[in-house]
Amino acid sequence: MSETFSVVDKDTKERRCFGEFDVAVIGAGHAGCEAALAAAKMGFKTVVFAVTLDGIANMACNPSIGGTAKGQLVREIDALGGTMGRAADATAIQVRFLNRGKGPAVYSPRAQIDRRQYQIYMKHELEKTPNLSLKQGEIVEIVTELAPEGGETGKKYKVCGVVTHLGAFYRCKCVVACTGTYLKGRVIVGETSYSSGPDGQFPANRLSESIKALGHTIIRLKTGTPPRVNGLTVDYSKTEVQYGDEPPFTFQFDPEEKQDVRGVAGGGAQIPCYLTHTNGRTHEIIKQNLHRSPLFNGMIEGVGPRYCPSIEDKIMRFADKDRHQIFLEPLGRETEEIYLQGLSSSLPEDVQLDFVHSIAGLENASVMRPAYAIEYDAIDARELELSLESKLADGLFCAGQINGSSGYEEAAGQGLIAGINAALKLRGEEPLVLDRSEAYIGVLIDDLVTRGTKEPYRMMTSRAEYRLILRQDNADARLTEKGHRIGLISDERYERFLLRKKHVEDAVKKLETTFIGPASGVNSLLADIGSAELHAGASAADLLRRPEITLNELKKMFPDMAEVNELTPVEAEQVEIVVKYSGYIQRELLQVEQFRKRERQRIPAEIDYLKVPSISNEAREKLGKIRPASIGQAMRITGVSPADIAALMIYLKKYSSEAENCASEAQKDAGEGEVC
Amino acid sequence: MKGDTIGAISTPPGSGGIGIIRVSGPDAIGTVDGIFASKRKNSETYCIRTAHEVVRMSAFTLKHGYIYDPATFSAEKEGRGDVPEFVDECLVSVMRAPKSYTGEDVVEINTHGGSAVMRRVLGILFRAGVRPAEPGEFTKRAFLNGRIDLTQAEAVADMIQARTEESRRAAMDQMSGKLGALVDHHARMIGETLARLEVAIDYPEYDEDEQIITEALSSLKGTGEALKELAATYEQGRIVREGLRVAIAGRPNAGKSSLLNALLGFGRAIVTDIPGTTRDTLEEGMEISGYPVILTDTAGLRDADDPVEKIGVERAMNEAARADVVIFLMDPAGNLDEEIAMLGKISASDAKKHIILAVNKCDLLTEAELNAYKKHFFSEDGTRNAEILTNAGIDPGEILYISVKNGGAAAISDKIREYLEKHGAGNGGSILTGERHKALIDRAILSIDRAILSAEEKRPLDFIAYDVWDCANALGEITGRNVTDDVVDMIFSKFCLGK
Repeated sequence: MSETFSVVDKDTKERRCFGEFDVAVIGAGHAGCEAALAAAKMGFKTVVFAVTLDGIANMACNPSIGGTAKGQLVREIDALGGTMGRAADATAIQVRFLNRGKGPAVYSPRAQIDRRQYQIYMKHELEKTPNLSLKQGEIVEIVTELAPEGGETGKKYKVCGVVTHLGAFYRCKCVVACTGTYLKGRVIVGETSYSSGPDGQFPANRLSESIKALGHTIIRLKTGTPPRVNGLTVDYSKTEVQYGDEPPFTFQFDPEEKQDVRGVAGGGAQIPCYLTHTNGRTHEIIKQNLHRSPLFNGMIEGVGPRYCPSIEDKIMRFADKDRHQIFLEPLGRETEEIYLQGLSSSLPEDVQLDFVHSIAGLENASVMRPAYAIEYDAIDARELELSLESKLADGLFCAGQINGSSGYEEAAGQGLIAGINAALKLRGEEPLVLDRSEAYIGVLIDDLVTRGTKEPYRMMTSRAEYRLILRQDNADARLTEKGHRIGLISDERYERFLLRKKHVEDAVKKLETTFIGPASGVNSLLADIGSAELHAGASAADLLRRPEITLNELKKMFPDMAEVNELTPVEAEQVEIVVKYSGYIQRELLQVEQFRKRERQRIPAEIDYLKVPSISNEAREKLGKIRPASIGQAMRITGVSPADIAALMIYLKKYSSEAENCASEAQKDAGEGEVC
Repeated sequence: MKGDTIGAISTPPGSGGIGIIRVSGPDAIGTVDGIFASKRKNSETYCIRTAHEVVRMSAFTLKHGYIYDPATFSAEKEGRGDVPEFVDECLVSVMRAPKSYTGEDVVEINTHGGSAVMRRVLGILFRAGVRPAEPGEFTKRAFLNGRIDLTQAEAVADMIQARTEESRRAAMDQMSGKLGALVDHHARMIGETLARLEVAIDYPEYDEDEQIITEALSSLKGTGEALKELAATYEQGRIVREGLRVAIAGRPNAGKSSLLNALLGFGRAIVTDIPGTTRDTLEEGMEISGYPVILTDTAGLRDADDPVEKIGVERAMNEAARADVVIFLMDPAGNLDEEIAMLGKISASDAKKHIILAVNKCDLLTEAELNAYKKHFFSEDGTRNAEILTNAGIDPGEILYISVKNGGAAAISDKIREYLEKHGAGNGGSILTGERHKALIDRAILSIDRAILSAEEKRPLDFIAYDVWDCANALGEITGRNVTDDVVDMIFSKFCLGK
């Protein structure tokens, strides 16, 4: 283990303790904030450390929250009692629903955020929350003790505290590590590179060693961000404008809880974004300077994300494309700074200036912050349990970029689960594990923990097998109950949720049981919207299932359905989707049933994979390392084939029948003994 | 828990010149060792049990020798240098655990076949402590010992049933992944389509929906067609698996049983001049062009009064209805109108049924008589005969005029061969044989059809994608590849995305 820097009492040789907490959260980014707020709200004394308190909940990259799959994550966070949705509603400067034309499974809410306001909001949340202390300090060591020999968990270490760069020791029972891109952060711009955290912050150079000493594998990842320019120097007349949706929506489900809506949904004006494109000259400039890119001169060792390639990467890999989209996104109300989405780069600053100026509208743009790539340490998330607790150190949880993910929403989702599970552990309760059919958060964590990742992992709807069920509109129906059970959703909010749920159910029932005949005059209404006329009776639901009929059209045909007329817009959306797509949803539910069967086939924790015959060496190694909780999880491990699963299932069958036999033999012996 | 030792005849009953008896389990080698003797080189003396010839064999080798019954040959006799009475000459092979089919010690005794001999050898083994294997127990042990996975187990089950070369080839194809490679190709095509759809969904700024749907539609249609072709081979697969059913039908005394015997090459059916000799249907397997063929002789079709014969006629009609191919044999000396009526009845039972029409006993006719007879099948005849033939799908020019007695069966084998080459899998392509695979291919096709319908109805992208995912997953279940990984990889490698 690395040298200990804590202040040690000369007489007792013990570390001087600066405070005792139940949970210590390292890092106050999007993961850390959720983790700390959840643990504190669940009643545990929590401390959260940030390298600088001015960097809390910083959006170091794009100034937006939500988008495809990510918008679903935010709604799930809100349904479980997390904070990101509320903070976004409070600070949104533009909201848009993406994919409106592409089907309800992939409707995705997205908001442009006032970056600085968001930080202020989140910092204030942390400050206001009871049981929660906020401290500026870089954590340099996670202090552990040896776990009791033969302890229940079988883990070697148990966390007992953290040490700051000033040597202050804080005792704690659980640690949640949410280190973002700070661990041994290294910024690279062209031929220049230097040790740094994101957005000009200090890096955290010492903590990796401490995590490594616990036995965790450290991997190196890379990400990047585009330049920011002064909006007053942009010629918007050469770009396309993009306005927000009217009326604006919120991420939060509960209308009563929307007291914090100070963003656009609270009446603030929506600020537009703009679209422009790269062109042949841009591409020429980049091609001519490729040799100066650190990607090509070997300076970058970390693995970058494929879903978010740099502009030079895009131009090299997709040489046939003559232009690429560039979105201009404002960073806030009280700033002119503009984020250039699509121009991530690690080319030298002079090249950046040249290619920015080659783009329509940006000819005279004044670059305020150059683009940069950043490398950082992360762990192999396969060394975590599905609860996000370390398999090596009892009480250590990890969330966010340290686990190989990317994105604010992905971080927040993990942070929330890690915070909840630290609290549940301290309560002595089972961890909250969401499965792949319950939430995007479940898909995200299962992917990271079961399959690991070689590049920063971004949530995509394509990664979710059951996305017709994992919709943004029903996140509260999926998760509010769980949030209430663990204590993050108040009784009042839960009551209101149950009422909303009832409204939806009643309306669906009403639609399914209200019939109409051809004689009722409905045919002329149908003709108006170009829908085929009725020849026999049909239910209102049947009509709603026609692609061309919306719930609003239907209301004209059935003006007297109070259950439907009184729905709020959020409820109405859910009713419409549930009825319209019930055929697909039913089919997906059948698949989910199959899936859950496999998830319920538990694998005993003590299983020795060396004793399982006839599985490949690769499978043996992977299974032994990841130790899946169920057959379902085992099936998802890369390198484990169906044949390996068959062999494992056979072994488990033998294993359990042997256990049964032993038990019955023992019984028989005992019985015979009595006869004797 | 150590399993007991099981044994069974592992070649199909009643066929072949060599029979294999398989013994598997911890005592397999020791037990066979106790009933095996081999001749010493350049000597008329034998190594009997004390030599432990089988125990000393290396794995995967063959040894020539003889099986004897230890119950009739005591150690005392062996000591005296007596020679036991041998039941059969054989070759023995040894496979040691875990490198055997079942994962246990396995001995295979290749006998000279003949069910009587094999049953005697098996009887000796059972008396020596081997338990009779239950149906499929070898495969079950292989599966339980982790030697094979489910797909392989299915293919092996087919392999065990494989009676002929063609069947074995289909089973081998599946095991060696030839079918897998074909399905993999289609899965890749679907994967690419899916990647296109998913890009449009996960990257809203990648806004080329119309074009994407158009491209997806044409690609889906292509793959759908290809999969339908593959699904159609299941019918060929059925022939490979279960054999082509060929029924010989006709009026009594048309020479059906003679034809059966001639086709088989031995006197299976009793042949007399007495009409109605064959009372019951008679079934026998044979091989034509490497395909299994199940040949059925049926009772002559007539309005019988005898209750036994009546049942026979009923069965004959059922058999003809069930068969893939019916050889309808006619007798020029018989009642033509009744024969044609029977033919009409058989063809009416199944419009697609292939009927080979053959006129037997042509050797008894003069050329003029034969020419006159032939005219009955053409429309100039003035009767409805030609019409019935047309309805039965028979070209009058294709009618065979033969004499079974004078080698006429060859012409009929040729017709069957022709049919097999057209409808079997003689072209060397991959065919579907497994039920599970067929079900998955059908699911894939259904999904594609649904996706195409959704696209044409202008349903939202995610519903089109839903069925394409379903299709990809169905194909993935055959190939065992992770569909999501493939699609995500494809999204990143084929499309230009991101900030």
